[in-house]
This record gives sequence, C-alpha cells and structure tokens, in this order.
Amino acid sequence: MMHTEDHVIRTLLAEPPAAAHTTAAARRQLTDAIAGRRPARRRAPSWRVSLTGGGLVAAAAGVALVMAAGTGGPAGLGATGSGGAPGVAAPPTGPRADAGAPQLLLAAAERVEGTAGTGRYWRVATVAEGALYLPVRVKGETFHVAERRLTETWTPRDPGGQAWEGRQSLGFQPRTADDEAAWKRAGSPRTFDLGPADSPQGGHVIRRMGPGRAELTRSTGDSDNAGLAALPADPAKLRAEVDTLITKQGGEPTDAAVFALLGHLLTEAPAQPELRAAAFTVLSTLSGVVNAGSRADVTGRTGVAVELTQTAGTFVNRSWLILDPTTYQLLGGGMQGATPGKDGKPDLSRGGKESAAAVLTAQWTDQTPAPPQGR
Amino acid sequence: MTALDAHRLRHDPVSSDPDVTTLLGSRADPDLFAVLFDRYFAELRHYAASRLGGERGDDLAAETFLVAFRTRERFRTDGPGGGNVRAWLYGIATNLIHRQRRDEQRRYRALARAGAVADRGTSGDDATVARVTAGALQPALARALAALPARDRDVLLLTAVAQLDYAEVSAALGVPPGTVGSRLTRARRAVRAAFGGDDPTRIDEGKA
Repeated sequence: MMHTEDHVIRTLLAEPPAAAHTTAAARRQLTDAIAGRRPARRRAPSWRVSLTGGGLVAAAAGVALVMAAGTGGPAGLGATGSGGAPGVAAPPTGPRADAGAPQLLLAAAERVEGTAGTGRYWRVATVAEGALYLPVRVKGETFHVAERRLTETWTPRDPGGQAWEGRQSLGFQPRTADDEAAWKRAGSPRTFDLGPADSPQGGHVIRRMGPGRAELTRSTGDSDNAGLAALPADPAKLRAEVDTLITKQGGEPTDAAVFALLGHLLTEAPAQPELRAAAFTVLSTLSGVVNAGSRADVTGRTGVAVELTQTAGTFVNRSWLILDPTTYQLLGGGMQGATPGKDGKPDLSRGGKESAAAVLTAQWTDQTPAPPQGR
Repeated sequence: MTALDAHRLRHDPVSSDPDVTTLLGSRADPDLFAVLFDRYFAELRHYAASRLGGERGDDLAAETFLVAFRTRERFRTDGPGGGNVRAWLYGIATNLIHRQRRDEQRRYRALARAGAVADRGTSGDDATVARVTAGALQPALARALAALPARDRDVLLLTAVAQLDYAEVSAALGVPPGTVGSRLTRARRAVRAAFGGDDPTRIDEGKA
C-alpha cells in the first residue's frame, strides 16, 4: 500500500544517483576490507570534509611515500614544525640506527616518557597524505595527485577543559616522480580537474595546489582518534584493549593488526606521552617487526623505519613507523595493503589501500589554540 | 513466502533466501559479501542520500557495507522469516545516520530554505557545485521531518523512501510491528498537517 504522501516524500527527498566512480570507490573500500580480512582504514573526519566533496568518496585511502623532489618536502610547514626538529638528546647508551627493531622501539618508549612537562595543552600536529585514485587528464597527459592535510589537536591538561582541533588542507600535488613528470609535460597546472561533479547542475570537481583555509573547531571528543587516545597507558592493559577493539571490528588481533592500529594511534591520535610509551612498549613485543633501514616521512624527514609485513590470504599488509635514529623521536608512519608484487611487497598498481602521516609536534604547550598555519 | 517456506527456514539451517545464503556463505568465504554490495548499494545509497544529501549519503552507504561486513557474524536467522538481509542493511544504515544527526538536520534546513539555489561547500577545496532544489512542498516537508522524533522519522523514511513493509521496518529497527504501525501513523499525520491537508498533491499543483 503506497500512501500519497509517501510518494511525495520519496520524490522530494530524492537525490541524483551516485556517480559511477563513487560507487566504484565504495565497492573498492569494501573489497579492500574483504581482501585484508580486517576493516579498511577509517578515514579521519578531516579527510571526509575535503576528499568527499563532489562525491570522491573512497579516494582518501592513498598516499605517496616520498614526495617527488621539487613538489613537496617540508617547505611550507615551518610555522607549525616546532616539534619537527629532534629536540632531545639521545641517551648515550641508546641503540644504534642498525639495532634490532625491538631495541629501537623500547628506546622510543623511553624517549617519549621523557616528554612529560608543563603546559596547558597536549598539542599534536600531524600531516597526513592521501592520494586520489582518480587520474587527472590534461593535454593528453595523465597523472595522479595527492593531498597533504594538516591536523592539530589541543587536548587540555584539565580533563574538564575544552579540546580543540585545527585543520587545513596543504593542497594537492603530483603524487610520484612519474606523476610529476607528466604534470610538467602538461604545463605544470596548479589546479586539477577531477571530472564531473555529482550534481544535477553539472560542473566539475576542482582541486588546487595551494593550501586551503585553516579552521579551528571545538572537539566533541567522539571521534575514532579521540577513542584511541583514551586507551589505557599500561602496556598489558593496552594490548588487551587493542585486541578487543580489533576483534570488535571484525578482525583478528594478529601482530600485524596490532601494529597497524598502534601505528595509527601514534601518528594520528592525540595520545599523551604515557600512552605513547605504552604503545611503543607493546610494539616492541610483536614478532616479525624488522629494522627496514633509512626512509623518509611524508614531509621528507629521514629516519629509520621499523616495519611489519603480513600476508593474509592473497593480500599483503605492510605497516611502518619512522624514528629519528639518534633521538628515537617518532617522525611518522604509514601502511599499505594490496596483492603482492614480484618482490612480495604490496603492489598498488592493481589497487589497494595506503596512507601515511608525519608527526610534526607532540608536546605540552602553554600556547593558546589557534588555526594551523601551513603555507 | 509460503507457510512451508517459513517452516523450512525456521528448521533448516540452509536458507532458501539467496541473500541469507550469500551472507551466511560470506562468513567462510568473505568474497561473497561483494555480491550483497552489488545487489543493494544503489538503494541503500538512495536512502542515505535522501536523509543526508548526496555526498554524505555516498559516504554513509559505503560505511554501511563496511560495518555490515565486519558484523556479518551477528546477522540472525532465527527471527521471523529466517532473517532479512535487506532490512538488516537498512537497520545498520539507520543507526549510522543517527550518528550524523547534525548532518541530517542541516540537510532539512537546506531543503527548507524555499527556493534555495546555491549550496556551495564552504571548505576551501570543496568544489561542491550548486544544487537546485525545487517544489513548493519541499520546505514544509523538510520542516516537518526535522521536527519529528528520530524514531518516528526512521519509520516514516524506511517506509516512504526505502519502501520497506511493516515486518521489514520491524526487523531493521528491532521494534515490534505494532510499534512500527503507531509510529508511522503519527509521522504521517504530522507530514500531512505540514502539507496543509489530506491531499498533498492538491497543494503541489502548478508549483513544482
């Protein structure tokens, strides 16, 4: 039985159907989750804002590991990069850069415990990078672009205080060296047309190279990252809770899943020093974590990478963290998941998931929360 | 479904409902779950977009299938009719929409702006393009929907937009069919009042 008003409601609320690329992106999110036998990476709310505009839904999953020279690098982050430079001298007895991964992780735990200090806010600034799977086509050239987003969280020491979150897009850039070459051949455009928007009016989705507007908003404290930051700071309890969390999400708490979740916590959640130390301690107990040598974070800072690779069915997941080799300060981290290429590593040319982030600042401060100032 | 089918579903672990078979099969063979996506994404997205707008609806529909995949072990086949996958998906989507209540209210506010023309994204890089809304009834409906209690709105929109029947709405929301009926009556009455009479099409004439 169809009531007349039902028909009116259905008609008045109707939106144009999803664009084909939107449906394809949603399907890829699902098949990634299926292939990985664990949840696809949850997108941070800030990414939702920027990357879903015009219906570019699951495009947010990507990253370029190292920005091509000349297009990226840490330039432009100076105003927020106060914590980027190694600030604390390593203990003279600390492990060398070629030490085993567990030793490096334990050194990182010790180092971060020393971050305790005074200040009204625990401030964490992170640059995360996401690539769009949609190609840009200009003048016969085809390339992919990646966006860097700056997120700053200000968590008050006083538990009753107001937490703040700052966000800013630092703009889109060609993704890899190949992308950059194609971009140059296309005349180095500074705006990227990603195709028709999902709109009855037509129009195109445009992304730009330059930074976007900076925003500072009150945190509601109900985000996934805020939930991670509230985990217990005792290593045994933390491991138990992480296992529970992974299981609840439909995954198996394998060492790889624990590494990926704690890596996300360390790079993107507003976790405080005690919890960070516990996370590093738990990471040091996982088997299969190796010292993968020198690697750059998404802002171009080089450190030593500790990495865990796991094959689940036909899917390879790889997660890593990058530590400053002398201070053991966390520089950044990332993950990739895809079917394996010839070298056994994830081969993203056939689709998969990726993300990476760099931690610019993680410290107590008396500064007043302000919008980010990436340039 | 015949009484015999219902009987068999209750007593036979292997369902004759292709959706249920697919879902149960996906517990051992996760790839099967993509079949459910192909079958239901478009309509779930239509439902979500109707409540949240196109872009949020895209997101929410995608999220619905991720959550459904992760929680597929929790799908129950011991309810009436042996379980209904479609209703279960709508239940997940509806729960997720509750978390985005502000987005939903924002959508109704936007629809309520009579003659609203441009709804440009405010974020610096958000190139959302202008969206035209039309129809004299739209503001009245939007205001009425915004004012409804969420549980009444769920029942109304699952019925009107998703076109679920009482039993399916009941399964989706986990409330008794009788409750579905009373909520629906209440919600329809509110919408009808907002439309200004018993025959909404009468008002619509010549205006849309």
